Amino acid sequence: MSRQGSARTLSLTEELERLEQQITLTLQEIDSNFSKAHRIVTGSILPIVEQYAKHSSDVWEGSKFWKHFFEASANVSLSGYEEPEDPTYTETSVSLETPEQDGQDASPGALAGEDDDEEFTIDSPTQVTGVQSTPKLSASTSKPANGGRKAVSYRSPSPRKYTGKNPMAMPLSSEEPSTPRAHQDIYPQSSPFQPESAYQPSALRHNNDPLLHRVLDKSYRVQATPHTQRRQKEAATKPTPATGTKTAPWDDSPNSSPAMAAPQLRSDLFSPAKAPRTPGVSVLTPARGKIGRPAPTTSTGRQLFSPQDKAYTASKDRTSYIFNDDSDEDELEMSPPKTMQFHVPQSRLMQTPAREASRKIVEDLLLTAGADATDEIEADGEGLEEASPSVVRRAFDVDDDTF
Amino acid sequence: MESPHEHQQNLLLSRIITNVEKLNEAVMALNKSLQEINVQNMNVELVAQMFKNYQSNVLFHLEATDSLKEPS
Repeated sequence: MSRQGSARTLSLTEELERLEQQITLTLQEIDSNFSKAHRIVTGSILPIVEQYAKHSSDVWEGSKFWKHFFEASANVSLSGYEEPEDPTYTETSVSLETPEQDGQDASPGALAGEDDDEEFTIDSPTQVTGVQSTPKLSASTSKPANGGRKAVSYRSPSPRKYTGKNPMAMPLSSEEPSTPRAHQDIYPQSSPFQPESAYQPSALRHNNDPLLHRVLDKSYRVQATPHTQRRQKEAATKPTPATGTKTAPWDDSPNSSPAMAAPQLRSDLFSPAKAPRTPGVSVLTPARGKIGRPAPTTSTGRQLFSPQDKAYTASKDRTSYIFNDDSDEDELEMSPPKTMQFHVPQSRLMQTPAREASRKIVEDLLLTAGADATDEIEADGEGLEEASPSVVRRAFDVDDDTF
Repeated sequence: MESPHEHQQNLLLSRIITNVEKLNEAVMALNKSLQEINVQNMNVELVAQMFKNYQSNVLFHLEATDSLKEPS
């Protein structure tokens, strides 16, 4: 009995030992498999993929000319982009998938009367899907891309032009290194002249772009932008014709004249802020010439030499709060860096009588206000820069009387 | 007292974890490069589609105008 028990215990221990060894062996096998997989991925797959990337970039280099050729002939700029993951969009993209194939088969018949064969090469997918929206090129001067974005179907004389500037696509299109167009697309979006409304209703726009690929849960779409429209946006940002050098040379010739006309209109729209500039205003900070700013300055001229200095500083702080200047926090905290900034306006103040007057005010403040003066120096300097000449002259006269 | 098996298994597990991390990094790098290649190849595919459509359009035009000739 005891022998049986000991044998059983022994067998249990052996069994446990065996199991432990098996576990260890299995773990070793797993470990070796993982390391083998890692070795394969890094050793053989990655170099091949890099080679593939190089070769595909070579292929792209070879076909780049033809893409530009077709784009120039269709007067659009095409680029693929990854559609943001959205269940509603993926459904529509699935529904667009099959018609696209049909469209390619049906395209010759549907566009029998077209003037140029190559112009509707990309056209066929959208024709079948029925979501083609083509902007009128004439309207692109005043309202660029607005009409096309809102899924309103325009039927332009030539059905080859696409709208399709998707803001979501911008970052991705910028990732395409060899496409010169990607840089041009970035400019209009970051431009302050570009009305943002042109890009806002992008939600309705997604379905307009024909589907190119559907990989797993991502769908890639083709984005097409009319050239003339893009050109004018671009010209609004950079009026110099040098921006046109980014496009292919054959792109430039047909559209160069309307592109040159656009920047004048735009610059007229946005320039008047500079027009009423007064002589005393600094050229470097014209944007600070806000309506409310001169008022405290006039009070400055009067109050600086009156015993109500502190009242003025309080009001000054309040106004800087209102206008959210960068300097208002510094003024409140009276931080030392203000003294460093003092030098910049002082050099500018030396140029005109207004600046001289402000400099004198600053000196007076240094004498009277003590530590507070360093903060007000900056504030006064800025205020006088934006003041009208009459106001400054008044302060100057007061200054003369004082001394 | 810790059994030697447990000790060894712990070591093996930590090795496995390290290997999996490395493999994960490698696969992520692979995915990234493949995605870049895909994005780049989209342009090539666009060109291919344009050529395909152009070819079908030319074919249709030639057939419509009865000027399609057999290759000599």
